[in-house]
Amino acid sequence: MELRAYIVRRLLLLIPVLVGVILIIFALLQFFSPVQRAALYVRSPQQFRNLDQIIEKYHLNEPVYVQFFYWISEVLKGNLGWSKSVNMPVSDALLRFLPATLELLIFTVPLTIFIGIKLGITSAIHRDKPVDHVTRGLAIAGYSLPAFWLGLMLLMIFYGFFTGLFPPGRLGLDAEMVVSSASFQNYTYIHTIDGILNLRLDVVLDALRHLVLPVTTLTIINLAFIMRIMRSSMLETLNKDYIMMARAKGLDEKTVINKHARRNALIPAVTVSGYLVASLMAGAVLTETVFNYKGLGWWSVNAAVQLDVPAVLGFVLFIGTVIVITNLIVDLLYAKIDPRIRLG
Amino acid sequence: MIATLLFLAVVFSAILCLPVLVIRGRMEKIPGGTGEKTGRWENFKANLRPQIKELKFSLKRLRKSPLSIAGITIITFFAIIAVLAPVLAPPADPNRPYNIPRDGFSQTPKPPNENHPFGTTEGQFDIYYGVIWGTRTAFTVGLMVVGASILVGIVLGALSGYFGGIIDEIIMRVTDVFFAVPALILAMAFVTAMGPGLDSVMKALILVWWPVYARLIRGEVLQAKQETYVEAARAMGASNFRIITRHVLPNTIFSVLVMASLDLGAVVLTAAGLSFIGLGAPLGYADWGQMISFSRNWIVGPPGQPFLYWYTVLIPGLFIFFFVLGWSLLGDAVRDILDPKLRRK
Amino acid sequence: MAKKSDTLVQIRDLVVRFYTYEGIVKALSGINLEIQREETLGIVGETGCGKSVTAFSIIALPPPPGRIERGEVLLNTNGSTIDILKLPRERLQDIRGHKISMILQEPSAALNPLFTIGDQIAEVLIRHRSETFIKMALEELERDIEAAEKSGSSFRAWVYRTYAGIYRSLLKNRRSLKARAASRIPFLRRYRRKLDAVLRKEVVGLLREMRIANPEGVFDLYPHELSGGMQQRAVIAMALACRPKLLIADEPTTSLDVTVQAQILDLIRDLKEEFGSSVLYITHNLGVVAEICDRVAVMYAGQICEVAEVKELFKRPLHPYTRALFEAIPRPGRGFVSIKGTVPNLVNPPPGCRFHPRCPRATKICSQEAPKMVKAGRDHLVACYHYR
Repeated sequence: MELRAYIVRRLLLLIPVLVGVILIIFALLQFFSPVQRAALYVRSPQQFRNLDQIIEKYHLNEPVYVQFFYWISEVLKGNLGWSKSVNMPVSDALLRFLPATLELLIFTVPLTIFIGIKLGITSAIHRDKPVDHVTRGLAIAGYSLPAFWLGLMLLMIFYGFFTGLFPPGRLGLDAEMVVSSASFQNYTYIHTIDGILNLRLDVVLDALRHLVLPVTTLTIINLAFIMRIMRSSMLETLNKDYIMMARAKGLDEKTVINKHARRNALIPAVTVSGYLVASLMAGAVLTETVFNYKGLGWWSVNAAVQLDVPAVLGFVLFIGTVIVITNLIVDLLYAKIDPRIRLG
Repeated sequence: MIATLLFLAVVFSAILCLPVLVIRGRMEKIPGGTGEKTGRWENFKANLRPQIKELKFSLKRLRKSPLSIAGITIITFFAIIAVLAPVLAPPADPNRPYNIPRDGFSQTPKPPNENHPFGTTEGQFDIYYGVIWGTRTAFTVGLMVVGASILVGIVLGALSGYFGGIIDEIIMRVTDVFFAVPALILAMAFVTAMGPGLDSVMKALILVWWPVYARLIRGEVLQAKQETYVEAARAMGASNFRIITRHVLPNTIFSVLVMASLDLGAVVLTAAGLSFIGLGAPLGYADWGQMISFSRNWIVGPPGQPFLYWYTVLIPGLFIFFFVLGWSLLGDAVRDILDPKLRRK
Repeated sequence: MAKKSDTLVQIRDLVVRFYTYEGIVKALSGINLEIQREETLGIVGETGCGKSVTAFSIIALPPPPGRIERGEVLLNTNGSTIDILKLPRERLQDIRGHKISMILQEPSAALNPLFTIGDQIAEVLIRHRSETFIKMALEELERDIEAAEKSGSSFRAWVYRTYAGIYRSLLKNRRSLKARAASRIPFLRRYRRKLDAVLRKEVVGLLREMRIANPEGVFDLYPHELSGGMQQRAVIAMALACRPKLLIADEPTTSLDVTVQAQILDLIRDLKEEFGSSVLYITHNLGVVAEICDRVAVMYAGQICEVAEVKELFKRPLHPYTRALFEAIPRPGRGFVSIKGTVPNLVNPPPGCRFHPRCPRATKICSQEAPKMVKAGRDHLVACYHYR
């Protein structure tokens, strides 16, 4: 019962954030002339011929609040404008590029969390010993690496030196042919999953081969984040009385750490994992660009360079929504781990 | 340029003034502090003693931490490069020192030789000149963005934390919105809207970075508000402005400095990312991010010589990496030392 | 009169140091103490005098960054003597919570917030007495098998036999692979239910003994749902679950309300009688000492300065520090009397007798050489040159 009230409260808190994101985007739009803004309402290439009509129709010459009303009603209808860089409506482009980014994140998120937590705990247990210094040093180094440079260096070695071992892009030519052929059912457009569902091992392997480098890059860069939080919360937990009590009970060190300390130390790590998703999305933008991996990030950068405003704004709105929803899920997870929240 | 320098001077002097404020704030905490002439110096010393002890203790720990020593060394090294840039790489045109000299217009990079110690990148831009003057660009971007964010953050965070209520609610909801979109992505949108360029990048980064400090300072102010000496000052009828500037803000300085040193690296990293994408500095401007984007087509050499153009990627990349690393190491070490939950163990 | 064979724990020349950035803190400098069978020994002293460190060092768990430098903690059980500090880690863990257990000052901090009260108590039982409970579970299973066969449901009988097999392998080896695998497989995982039920019965019984109303309900509650007094009862249940020979109570009532304090004191006293345990009771409250202890040790700055029977000590305090402590007890009709000077910094403790800078009777020798423990009466030891 309390849990439901908690969820409702969290959901209500989301609304101002989303409204805020929308307001920021609308404010950004005010940088542009009515003609440029008209592109936001275009749904097909033909409409570009009569932009004046569109300006008229959507009252783009009228006061700001009137414009806002028309604009928001279009956004709510799902019309985010026309992305000239890929020649399709922004909403279609979002759907088209989303699976690739999802595929990237499906592999990166568990890997980052798992390794990050493991390293954080190791580091905390061996505080101020060589293991701790090395782990922390490496994590900080990872955090300081520019994603785009790391990507290029990895390409230099695993694409250049080991010729074509892990190539850029999303699929090789052969696999691309298979995927776009009529006999291949695209259920999710996530190639590894579709490949398994279609029993095409070659597609799965090829997709994995293309994923190795981007996933490595993203993981290395975001590892430090989780590790650092895990380390400090673990250190704090290990100083708690109940850990002393667990030891005084005669439990072995493994049980003390794995049962009593880890779960408590995870709570702060869970609360910030919403930020992890944000940081992964930002990393994905650069990583996808470097590896020419055609996902949302690649599309947004491509659009930004060509000053394809509707695309960039649509992307920001989408990311804002995703992160807000992730934070909600994280809150619910938090309630599941911690009985103090669960029971009000 | 003059505006930039002026701004930097203001930010620096503001930061330098903070410790003085700390001391003055402490002095007023005890009865007969600054108000009375008698025993003023004794009081001053007595009040400073724990502060100095604390500082000595922190510095001792800082010296003992190998990571922080590495961080400080790296930052010092870059600071020297930035200061000595005109000596290390004399500009051809003193009025436009940030323009990298070109040696021809050929696309193919040339390896290091006596004229170009680090070689030339795509479009024959001199890599050595680029990375040296790029250090200045990095410092400028980092300090400007972090400095301005701190100023905005102090004002809004102090207002929010001290007055609470509706002001707090509004400011915090606004920061929530900024936290809902990653800095790089939001900055990308702002730059797209304002038009590419280094100025846009800096403006965009300030716009997306201030909420970090607003939140940090708000939290600290909320904590400081609970302290007895603040309540005492209020009871004695000190004005709100005086309480905030004299009693509350000086106590936030340490956490702000930690955050700032971590952020300087992050800001430069984000700015380099934007430049790499092609939204940053104009063509030929000394900027590390842009220099890496020049190398994108030269990752893989001709068959048999996979590392032929290594210098185009490796050199500017190492500069960014070490610059950010220096700040991260320092920030991380300082944070660990100042964390009251973890220290003294 | 305590005979030699009645000694349960003997602490000999225990030295503990804390390595901090400010220097080496000499937390304990040569502690000698005996705890007799079935007695309650109190340790009194000011905050930071090392009484908690002594307690934790008995089970070789000095609070970090402390290190035990020297000394022995001899435990006498079943006619043999072992030095706890020299035991290998596993044997040590077998003693903790089983032969010697602890109650901490702050019950809300001593309980892990993420597990139910029942879980945390059952954990001790399964750690130290798993054999007993597995055998009990097996017996019940065998009865179930018979009943199932009688009623002709051969499938149920087969399931129960499988469970019994898992329990038998657990009896042979506490970390049995079979059992560990089974606990990860749905349905097979249910084998635990029998054991859980047996444990539950035992824990509920224990909680009832702690005079907790509604023990069945409390079993499934999380620590934050209980009051401080109830939490401390749960901690005591956890400590007494295996009927330890020695219960170390580190200021167990300090954080509780006065009325609850009295209840908890009564509880500890009664349970001690019932279970036949010794109690090492650490406190700074002389009133509590008078109420619960048989003998008292007074500690000052990492050393013991006086040990005596309670009545003797209250009647005839010999060490100047003990006397000062008694005088510091506020009484009506008299102002506060405090001990002059401050507690010494244990990084650089004063030479000789550590109390001498604050002592009204101090002479030259006090600052030169530390006084030895001398017998000053029947069962009365004191470390002072001028106690007469």
